[in-house]
Amino acid sequence: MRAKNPPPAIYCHAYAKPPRPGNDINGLGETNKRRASKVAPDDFTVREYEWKDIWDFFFLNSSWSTFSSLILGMVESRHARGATASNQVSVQDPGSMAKQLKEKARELGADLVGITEVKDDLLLYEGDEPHSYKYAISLGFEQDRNIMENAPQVEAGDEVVRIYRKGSRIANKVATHIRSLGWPAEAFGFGRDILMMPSAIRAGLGELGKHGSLISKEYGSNFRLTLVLTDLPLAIDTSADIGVEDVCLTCQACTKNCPADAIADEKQMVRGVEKWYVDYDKCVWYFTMTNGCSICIEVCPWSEPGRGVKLSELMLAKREKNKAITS
Amino acid sequence: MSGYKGTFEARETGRIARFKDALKSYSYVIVTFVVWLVVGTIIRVSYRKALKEGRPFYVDCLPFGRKKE
Repeated sequence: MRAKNPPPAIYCHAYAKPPRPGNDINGLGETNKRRASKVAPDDFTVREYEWKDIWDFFFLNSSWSTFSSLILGMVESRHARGATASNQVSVQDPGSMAKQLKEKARELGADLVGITEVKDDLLLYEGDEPHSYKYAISLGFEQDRNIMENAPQVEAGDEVVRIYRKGSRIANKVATHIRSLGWPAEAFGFGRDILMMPSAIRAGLGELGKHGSLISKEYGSNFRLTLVLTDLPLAIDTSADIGVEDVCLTCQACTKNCPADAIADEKQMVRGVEKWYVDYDKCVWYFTMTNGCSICIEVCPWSEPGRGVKLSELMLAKREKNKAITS
Repeated sequence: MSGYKGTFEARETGRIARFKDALKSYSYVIVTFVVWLVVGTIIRVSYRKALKEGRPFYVDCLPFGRKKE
């Protein structure tokens, strides 16, 4: 897929007094490990972010469909926590409980479900208070490909926010269900500051792609994440190896289709880890001009419906063959 | 538990607390709609004008996007 009529990366909006470069805040080039710092807000009522002004502009300039989904999603976040039932269900078999919970999450509307242990380094930004929960349940929600393949048009941005809101509501329901079993649980969707991708990677939902987004076998990058933290004893999943690295090392679909030229062909050193990284200072202007862009995730070959499973099989088979030849 | 408290989370339990919480939440929706409508319209009009005139629109000088002298 190619982007449909992307506008050129020529910007009218600018900062009169620019904040610190987003790449510096993100730790591009830093060799010491540290937690991520907040650059763009998740909780839009908080006003501490250095790049807050451009996000105020983005949301107030957005369509009513995008903006209303955002605000209603934030308001619905009031159901993210709640009272836990006094009768606590005893869990003899965490594996069986994990299976039941995943079935429940899918029944409630989640498309992908994975479980991992809570590690604060994966979840928290610098300066955040630690969590005391034991398990993180990552939930993935598919976007409508028929709408998203129009990225970067306005309707694609509307769809992204609609799915985030849907994900938040379902995360709330999963958390409510767990609390009805007598175990503490808290949903993290819209408007709640937490890192979602590292836990989703550890929980086996997918791998990090060159475009900085998660890639799953089932949906490519065409999905969004929410999270539920809980103490309910659960068996954890292992991280996935579906062959994303094998494709990303040579594929240039996102690199060549990014109008802002924000995606590098090589991994970068970011906060002490070499990883795929999207240039924030180039991306943010195009993103905020186009109601959320999304070109990179839609041109990704993994996002083509039905292709991911076959691509994964092909890449893993090729890797095995190469291993056999070299050994 | 997490140390994080969302803006709209109920701090107390009970029917009255739930009612107050719902009122607060939906008042926020209405106020934010009005802000989006009024301030957002000024921003959208000013931004389009800046685009047409080929001059910068400063996002840290909302809602008119012009530098404060």
